[in-house]
Amino acid sequence: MKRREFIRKTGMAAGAMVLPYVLPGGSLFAPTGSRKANHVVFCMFAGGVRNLESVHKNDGNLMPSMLNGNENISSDIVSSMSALPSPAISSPLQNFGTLYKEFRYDQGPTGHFNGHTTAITGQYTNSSLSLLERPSYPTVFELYRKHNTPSMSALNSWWITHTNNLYPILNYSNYEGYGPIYGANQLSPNDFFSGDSAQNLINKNGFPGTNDTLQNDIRKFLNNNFGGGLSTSAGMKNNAEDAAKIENWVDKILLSISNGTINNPWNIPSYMSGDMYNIYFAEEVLKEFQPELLVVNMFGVDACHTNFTGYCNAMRRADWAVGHLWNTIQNTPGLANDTVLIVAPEIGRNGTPNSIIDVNGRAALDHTNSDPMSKEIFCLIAGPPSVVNQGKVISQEAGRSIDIVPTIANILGFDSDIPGLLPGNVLNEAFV
Amino acid sequence: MNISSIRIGAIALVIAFGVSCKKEVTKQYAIDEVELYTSASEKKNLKTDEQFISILYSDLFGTAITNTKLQELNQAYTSMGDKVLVIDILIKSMLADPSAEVPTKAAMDAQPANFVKTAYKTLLVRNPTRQEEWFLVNQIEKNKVLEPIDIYYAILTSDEYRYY
Ligand SMILES: [Zn+2]
Repeated sequence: MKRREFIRKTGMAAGAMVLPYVLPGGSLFAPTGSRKANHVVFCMFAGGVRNLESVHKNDGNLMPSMLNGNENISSDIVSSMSALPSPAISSPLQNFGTLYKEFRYDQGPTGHFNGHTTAITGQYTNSSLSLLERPSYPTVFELYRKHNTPSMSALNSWWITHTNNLYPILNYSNYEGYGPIYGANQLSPNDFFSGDSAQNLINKNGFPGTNDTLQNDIRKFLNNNFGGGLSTSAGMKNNAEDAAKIENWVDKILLSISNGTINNPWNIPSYMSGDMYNIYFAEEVLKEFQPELLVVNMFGVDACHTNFTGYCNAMRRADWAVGHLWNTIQNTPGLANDTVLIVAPEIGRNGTPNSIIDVNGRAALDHTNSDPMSKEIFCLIAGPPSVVNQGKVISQEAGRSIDIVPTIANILGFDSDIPGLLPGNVLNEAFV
Repeated sequence: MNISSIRIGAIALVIAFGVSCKKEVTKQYAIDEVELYTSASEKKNLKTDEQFISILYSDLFGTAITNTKLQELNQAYTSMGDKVLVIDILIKSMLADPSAEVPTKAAMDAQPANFVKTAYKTLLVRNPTRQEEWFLVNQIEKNKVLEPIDIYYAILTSDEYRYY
């Protein structure tokens, strides 16, 4: 029984104190707050997006899966836009939630890693953050796992990263009392399931798994003899039961790859971008495991450093993918009507262009600390009508990047259990 | 599996570990007489991820891993947060590769003690103790479903295999 169902069946009203109880799996669940929903998906969109091109539609509506409006795409770039299918969502996502048009990443360097770190920890970063540094504060995954129950399985939290470069280390922090044991299942599917990598893994489906007990007995004997034990530096680790489930899922994906069924599964004319594939695999995780918390990022729009038109095109693809993501959530039993989807760029982009001009004569855009526009972003929170205000638009400046983590914690009912760590606020305007 | 592949495995070990370990340097120049650990207790150091992948590859395919292959396998390794799980997946993938040098079941069943000794020398670079040999031979003899790949898999996923 899901917690929400439990609350309903025991007649507890929303907001009531929830006593600890034992889940069917046997684990103790004891956050002190009530939940708004049992699942949160947070999508970082999509590598530095400027409000001018997104919510202000300076070049037309480049995000028709997320935003209302039929504004035409600017005539000088429209012929360079790739063909995309009609949105996979029945109505633009903003109608299923609340749109903060003037959200702010208001402190810290406007680098991707800094933006990601802030979005995932709810803390602004120092100016000198090393690009290879684990966060100094607990991530949303650690907070979720530590403050729900000591035994909350990692299968319930996923960090799906666009690449295996750098972003995986945002899984868990060095903060005392947290760390790898509270990490999420991190996966970079574009790399893990890519041609070269998958070719090496594809044989796995031929591995005979029939003698598991004998294999385990022999390994146990060997380990007892050796007496060493693995170093704790191994990082996050699933329990054996969950590891087997993930392995089965990996087998299934590998089989689909070898059958060719993951070759443009969305039938996108021309091609599916890396962003689209990352969302595709995030959806596969959602369908398979119905996790309570999944964070996924996209990166394609960062093409804007050298190609403004390519940026607009990438934004359209990312937008289409978000529409598909919402559609999948609503068609997945266990997630439908019980999931809050949060979409926000990690950073914006500069108001002042750089000197690189694309084929359509448009100037490219970086994201530098000194340019205030690179701190201007949007945030869209969508969810069930009983939970999230539908079709609400907040046009004045409201909400900051550091508010996303406390909001996720509030949705999942553990915000009051986090001991004074988070400087941000719950984005209450979005909720019923 | 024959002695020459054991030797190649030892060479790969030298490449992977460089000159930081005197014992392995000895092996580099004594390739015809592979120097084995006298006991598991000599293994004190955890292999790095790259060392682990390189040695695993050379142990199973009888040749040193190429840079390209190491990068490909490392790509899978770095793409999954649960390192125990991803190593398990890599080991299974390699073991199930038809070109992996795993003895046949017929050979194992015909001479179980020989199989156990060779597996130990190849993968753990030491001789089995009498107790280990007895235990594994007994497993082979009493469990007719047991395949060589099962024993290889158990050894490769053991704690000892993570150390040198
Ligand atoms: Zn950038």
